[in-house]
Amino acid sequence: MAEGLNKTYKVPIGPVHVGLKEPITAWLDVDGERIKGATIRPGAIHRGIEFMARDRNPIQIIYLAERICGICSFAHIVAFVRAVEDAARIEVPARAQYIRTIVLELERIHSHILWAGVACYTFGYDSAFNLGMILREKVMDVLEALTGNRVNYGTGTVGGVRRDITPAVGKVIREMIDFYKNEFGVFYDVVTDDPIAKARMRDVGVLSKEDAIAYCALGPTVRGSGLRVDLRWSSPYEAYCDMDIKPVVPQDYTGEVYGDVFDRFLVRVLEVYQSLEIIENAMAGLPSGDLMWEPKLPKLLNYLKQADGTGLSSIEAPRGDDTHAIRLTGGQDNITWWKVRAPTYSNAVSWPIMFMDNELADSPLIINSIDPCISCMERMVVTDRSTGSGNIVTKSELIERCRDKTRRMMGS
Amino acid sequence: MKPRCAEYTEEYVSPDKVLSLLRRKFRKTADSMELRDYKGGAGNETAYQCLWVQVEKQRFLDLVDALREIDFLHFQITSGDDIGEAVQLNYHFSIFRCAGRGKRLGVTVTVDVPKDDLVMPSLWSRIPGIEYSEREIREMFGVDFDGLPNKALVFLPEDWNEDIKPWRRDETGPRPEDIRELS
Amino acid sequence: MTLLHFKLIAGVALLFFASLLSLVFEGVDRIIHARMQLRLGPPLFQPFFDILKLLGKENIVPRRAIPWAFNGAPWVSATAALMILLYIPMGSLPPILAGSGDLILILYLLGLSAVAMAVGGFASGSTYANVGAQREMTLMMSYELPLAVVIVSLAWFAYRTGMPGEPFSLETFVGMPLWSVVGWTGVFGLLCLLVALMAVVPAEVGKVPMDIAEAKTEILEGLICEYSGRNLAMFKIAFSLRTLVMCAVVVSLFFPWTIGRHFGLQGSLLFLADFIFFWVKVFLMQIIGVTTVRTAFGRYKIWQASQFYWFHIAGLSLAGMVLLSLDVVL
Repeated sequence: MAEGLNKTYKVPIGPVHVGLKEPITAWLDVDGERIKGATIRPGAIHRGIEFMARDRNPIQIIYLAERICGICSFAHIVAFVRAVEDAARIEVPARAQYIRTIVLELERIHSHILWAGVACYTFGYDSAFNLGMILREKVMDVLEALTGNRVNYGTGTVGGVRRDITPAVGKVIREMIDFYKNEFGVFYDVVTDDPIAKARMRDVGVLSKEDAIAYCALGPTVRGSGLRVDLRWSSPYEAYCDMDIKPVVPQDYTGEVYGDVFDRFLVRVLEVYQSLEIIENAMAGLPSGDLMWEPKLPKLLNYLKQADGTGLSSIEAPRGDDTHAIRLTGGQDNITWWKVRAPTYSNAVSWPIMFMDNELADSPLIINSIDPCISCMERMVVTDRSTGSGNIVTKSELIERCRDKTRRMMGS
Repeated sequence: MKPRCAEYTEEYVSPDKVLSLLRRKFRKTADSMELRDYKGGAGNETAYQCLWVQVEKQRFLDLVDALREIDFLHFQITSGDDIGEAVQLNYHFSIFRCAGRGKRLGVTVTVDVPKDDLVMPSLWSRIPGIEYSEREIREMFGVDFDGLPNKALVFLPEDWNEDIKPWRRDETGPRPEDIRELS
Repeated sequence: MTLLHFKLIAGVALLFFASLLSLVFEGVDRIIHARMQLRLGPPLFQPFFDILKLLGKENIVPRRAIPWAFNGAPWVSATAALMILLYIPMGSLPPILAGSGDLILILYLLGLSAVAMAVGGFASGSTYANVGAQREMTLMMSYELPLAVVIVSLAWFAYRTGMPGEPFSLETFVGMPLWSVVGWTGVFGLLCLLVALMAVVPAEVGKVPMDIAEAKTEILEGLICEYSGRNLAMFKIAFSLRTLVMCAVVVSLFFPWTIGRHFGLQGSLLFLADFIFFWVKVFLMQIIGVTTVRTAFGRYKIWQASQFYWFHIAGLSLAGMVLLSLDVVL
């Protein structure tokens, strides 16, 4: 290997890479197997959602917000809806707050188990990945029972929620809690006791406490570096106001902080237990009452049209703090502007630091360790090196091309 | 350049005190400052507060430094809008992130950047985590940041015509023929 | 002349049979792997479908590749792996090319197969393939030491104890099971060597936890990143053949027992029973040594794998060597 000769070559990881489930490009300067520098280039998938939103009213945007991300779709809705409620001064009924909390935590369980499985897959531990996928099915079933959908639940609305927790659903949720309390430990043991898993994650992608603060890291990434940061605790919202939630940090469990991928893994896995506890508490204290501040949609829209103000909301999504800011102008149906800050936006800034002096083999694991969520592809770029041309093909053109091909194949 | 060692403070200051301190230092825009309560839970009690501050462009760095004396400024996002003769930027920060339950104080700083001088001082040397946001504001609004080392595009594609600023509402914004409806 | 003809026909038939068998074994391996993960898994003949489909696909040579090396590597790799089968005794049947090759040749052919893969990777002109080829070479250098120690210890033991036959010939070990020759210290020595050899198997066949050169989530299948069509089919066959051959070598060295004589069988029936029994043993070895291991572990990094072979496994094989020597001396 050419290590030590100070000769580096560039290796692109992404935008299409087996180890990544999201399109982002990391150009790595590699010396032998060691990473000497990294340049991150997102933007393969910027869909201009914030621009699109300018032509829509708040209720329409809920469905746009839901499609920012498949896994934390409800987190984005709640963040958006809370920003609107802040701007328009709407108070949410207590029962709706509790239901929002329960769905948020269900989503967190879903997201963390999925992530833990994918992390194992990234270093070739397929059995743990499959175990994770099996475990995740249970919470997906519960979400389906509660909302009717496995992803994009369509459950939140301005001033409340659109689905109630019926006694039947309550029973399903309690069953799920028992299931995870019995079964999830197996997954935890399989990974934390495995020597290879430990060898692959320990001291890899280290983010020190100072860097985590300076680079504004969020969620499990910053908690993995040992900082007690959790919006559910530092600025409680919804039903979290009635609960005492302690941020999960590795030093409380292992006594030490490394700030590496293993610590981030540990934080996420332990947060699953925390979420189960929160759901249990929320189910026990579920108040009765209305589901919505205003069930009549035209009346709500009319109220929102009159509203004038800027709203801001930050909530603790599975990957970290999800911030939405919105501006409503009196007399206008549509919103004036809307800004979304998904957690990955901030966490991705820390990547070059985590990459430094790690190995090429670790790069997908490091990218995955912040649980990146870069949304789905909506257009593609076609380039031809020989002519140097590059143009963007939209989805409708793609569909048209597919149909052309089908017609060609069928010989008509 | 390695940023200054970052740390969160141990000394908590109540939001009222932060507000009065800022009002004392920034008299010109003191009236625009407000403290907003955020309520929640079954009892509907105040859970935490956020500070909304407006400041003129010349005194923006002073305000940031005043806040940084209280605690390390955690940067969340910059939002903004084209309001005619100026681009209005809202910096969303928070302080006391790990000071205790309900103690986080969100601080939103609003600055108007006049269109004849679209330059803002960069906060990159103070808060390195701001990098993507400043690059985004640069490509979306055309606001230049003085002191930002990397001014490459973040979210727009490589072959983007940089004369078009997607979030502007004037002649530099996207024209109707630039917009294609994606299915 | 007739003997040569017979050998030619038997050789071709055997190679054909073994290639098919290796694919069947891979199919079973995939099903068992899936069942252990609570999945259904692919159909038994999925590897055949894969190969057949690949054979019909376009063979793409990257613009920056060196065509002759790129196209030649898969064939050399598969042929080298195939050749080894001619030197392995199967049950009571002597090897087709008995007497003209020994363990050293088998080691060389295994090495050649791996080197050919690395050459193909280097010739691809892709960064990922390049990294994969570097890793393959590093890995080879790491596991060759324990492998050589195991082979040399066994040969030396055979020579000192005066086992009938050439010390380096595989037939020697098949003719007389080692376990019946050694004393108490020797049993422990042999166990050490067996474990060391089993630990080399995943690296030799490129399976988890040692699929470092072909790590798909890290370097996009590395070595075979740029391969497609017929070339890729040859690599797939080479991989399953190497798995088969490695397991066959382990079986021949350490588990050479036959069953034919116990049932009092004679003639061609004896050969047939022993032949089938031999492949059953190889199959079991593959399940234990490859399938179970790849289900139970994740992937090592290259330096961790090197460390594992240079220190842990080399140490174990040296311990086996010492114990075996003690057995001879005492």
